[in-house]
Amino acid sequence: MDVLNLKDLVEKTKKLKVLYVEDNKETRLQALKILDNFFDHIDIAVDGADGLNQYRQDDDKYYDLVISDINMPNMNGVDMSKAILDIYHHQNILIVSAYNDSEQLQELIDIGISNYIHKPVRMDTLINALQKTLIAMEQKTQEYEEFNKIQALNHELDALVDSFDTYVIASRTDLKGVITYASKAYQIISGYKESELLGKPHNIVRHPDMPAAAFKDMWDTIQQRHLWVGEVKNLRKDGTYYWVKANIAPYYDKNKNHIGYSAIRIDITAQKEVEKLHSEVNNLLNNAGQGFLSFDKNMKTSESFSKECLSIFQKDDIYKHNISDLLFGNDAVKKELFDDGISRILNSDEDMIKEMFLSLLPKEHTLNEKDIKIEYKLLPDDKFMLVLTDITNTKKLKKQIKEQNQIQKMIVSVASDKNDFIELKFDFENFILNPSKDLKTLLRELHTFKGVFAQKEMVHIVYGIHDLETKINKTVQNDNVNMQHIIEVFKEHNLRDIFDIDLEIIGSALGDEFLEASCSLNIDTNSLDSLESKIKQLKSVGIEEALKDILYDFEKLRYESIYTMLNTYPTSVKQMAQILEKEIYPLEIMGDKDLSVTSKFKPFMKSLIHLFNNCVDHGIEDVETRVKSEKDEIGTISCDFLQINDDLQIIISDDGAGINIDKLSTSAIKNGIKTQDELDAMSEDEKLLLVFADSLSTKEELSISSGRGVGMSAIKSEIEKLYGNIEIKNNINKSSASTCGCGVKFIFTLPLDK
Amino acid sequence: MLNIMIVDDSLIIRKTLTTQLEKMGHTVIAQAKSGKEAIELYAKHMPDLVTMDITMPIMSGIEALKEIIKDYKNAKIIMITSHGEEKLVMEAITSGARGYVLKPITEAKIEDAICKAIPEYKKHLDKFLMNS
Repeated sequence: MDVLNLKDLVEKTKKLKVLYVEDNKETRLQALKILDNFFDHIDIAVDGADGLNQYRQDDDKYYDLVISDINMPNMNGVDMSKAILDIYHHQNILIVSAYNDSEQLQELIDIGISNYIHKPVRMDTLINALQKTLIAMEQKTQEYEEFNKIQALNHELDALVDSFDTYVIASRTDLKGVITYASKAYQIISGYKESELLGKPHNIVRHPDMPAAAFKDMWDTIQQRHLWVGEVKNLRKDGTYYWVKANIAPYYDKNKNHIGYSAIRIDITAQKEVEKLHSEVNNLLNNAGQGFLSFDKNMKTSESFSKECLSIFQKDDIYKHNISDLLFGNDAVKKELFDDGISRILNSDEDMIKEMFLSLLPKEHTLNEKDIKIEYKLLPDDKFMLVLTDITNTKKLKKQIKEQNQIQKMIVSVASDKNDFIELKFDFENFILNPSKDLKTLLRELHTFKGVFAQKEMVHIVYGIHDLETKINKTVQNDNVNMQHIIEVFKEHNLRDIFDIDLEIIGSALGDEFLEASCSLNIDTNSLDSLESKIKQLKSVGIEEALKDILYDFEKLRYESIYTMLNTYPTSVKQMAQILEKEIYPLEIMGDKDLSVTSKFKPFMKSLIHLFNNCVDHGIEDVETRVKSEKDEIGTISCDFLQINDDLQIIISDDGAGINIDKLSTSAIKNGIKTQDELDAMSEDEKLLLVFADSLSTKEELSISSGRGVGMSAIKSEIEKLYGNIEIKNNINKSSASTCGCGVKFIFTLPLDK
Repeated sequence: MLNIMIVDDSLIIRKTLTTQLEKMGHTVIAQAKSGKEAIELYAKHMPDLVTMDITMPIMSGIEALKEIIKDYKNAKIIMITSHGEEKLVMEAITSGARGYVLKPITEAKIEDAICKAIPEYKKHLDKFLMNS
């Protein structure tokens, strides 16, 4: 600071607060005359003690300047200055000394007063002294500020050290692992007081769950003076545990001597708990045997998924694939449905609509030869969860159960009429070896066998024959009728092998003896007795007459009740009605249960399956149509038989739609059976008989039950073998406004001809 | 209970649905055999609910649905569908269908679909069940 001119000096000094200490009143008054020119604020003290007292009482601000005499009663200027400087080391003190005070003055200079002037106070010396004092004051202010700064830094450091101590789990040990320092945080987490830790080996907090290998690794590392970082489970004083992530490093003194180890730690107990929970949940999901995974709105597959997903997708990098490719990459149709569904869900706001779309996504899919059931769940934030279940075995089991049920039905059906089955088997095996060389006959026979096997629930051979029929029909269309070729097709189809599948199943259930058995007869003792007595009577009557009678009786033994022969149909009608979803009252076979005929009627009785199938399929209308036509909504099919003189009459009728003669005629022309002229010349009843013509079917669709146009002709062919006759009556309800039919009646008349 | 219109080209389905709906206490106020007929009959009868077959000749169920929704934004239409028609059903829902029933049709499936399509009906039903 430069020397100030008087005006600037006074401007500065006027602001100062001054304590003036002088015991001599006159000296005081004289000095004040000059001092008043420089200072506005002067407190007066009359001796050292008074001065010190006032100095102490000055609360708000220290005096900027103390001006003091040296020699004073009570307390001299030296002692007072010493006391003041003790209170405030940087106090500016200006001493006014007499010439004989030089010894004390020297002492004062030594203890650090700012300046001195000699008595008496004169203007020029005072100005000079004040100039110097102001410079000194300025320096002191700077020093003071710096001191304050350092003071503040010290506080901050203290606070840091304090928070380190409070919050950082820190400790130090000597080279042997004996604790030399433990922070407050360490004490709190471990549950030990400082006194319980210092001087104790560090393994006081070692948890038995920690493997010895982990500590060996730590010691090996830090003894080589490297930093060791690791997760450690520690034992608290109360027996509970806490997890820390520890950093342990060698510790050196000021002279860089390795004197121990220092460690700081982070409490990771909460993190470990979360990890544990997480791994428990993962464990559950991984062992659920189901695939869990999620994907986002961009079809991005989540990075975490349950273990089962690996075996379902057979990929390690599941998360790298788009979920749509991952699931349906092998099925374009399903993939499109899935992509479309997901995008619709993302574009809709209503939860109900979203759920509806979700329910339409593919629910099952075959992946890597496994059948997978897929369930979808909506997650927040446009995410989706998938639950995948391998249902391969369940499906297999279901299929097996279904097959088993089918087999059981077949076994029951076959076993319930052993003779019938043995005969059928014999006939069919003959048929396979010697198929008819006539196409129509061949197709007819095939069709009848199919119907009969269907009654017996022998599914393999039924489908086998059905396929063969289709093949033959195709061949016929392709190369007109080349019988040679058709027989080749027949042989190639190998019905024998297909039939053996069913036979093997039957054999394994009923024993091979069942298949090898020949037909057996149950003969009641009365018939035997009667035969016996007739033979005994041989002598009394004419031999010829008697033999004829006996032969007749033998033949009768082979007779079968017509009722029994027909009684397979109630079941097959019921089955057919179920398949075709028709409502029909149970069929009842009406007639004399004792009426028996020879077995030559059997093929005819069997061929009737085609007629019953036709009644159910073509005859009986569906419920709606029946209700509309004011009919009983449930249809009726009836079957009666009776003996009229030497004839057997079988009447089968239904209350269905009747036969549509127009349709029948059109069909007949189309199939080249009759010309229009021929039809015009025919009566209605004659036209009806066209239903028995070969390859005529009015049904447009082909099904396993009817529509080939060969079934009815099979009946006709059997009738002809028995020299029988067919009559058909269409019942049209004339009274009704509509031309709806009231059913049709088939009357078969067969000579019994004994 | 609701006034319902059935739209289906198959007599069997119409008959079956009528029987089932009537058994559940609803009234079948109209039956349409085609999508075209459905549009006319909807305007005439203003049913509470429509069951709509998805595939019909002349005008498909979806076309009819779109036409009806165009004029009657709040029409409650549920689709009657078969397996393999999922994509069509999705389109129908996007176009405003309130639900669907997968064949074979059962009373439980219909009830469920109606409850979803008409929440007030579900409330009514719950109340009824609680009182009985």
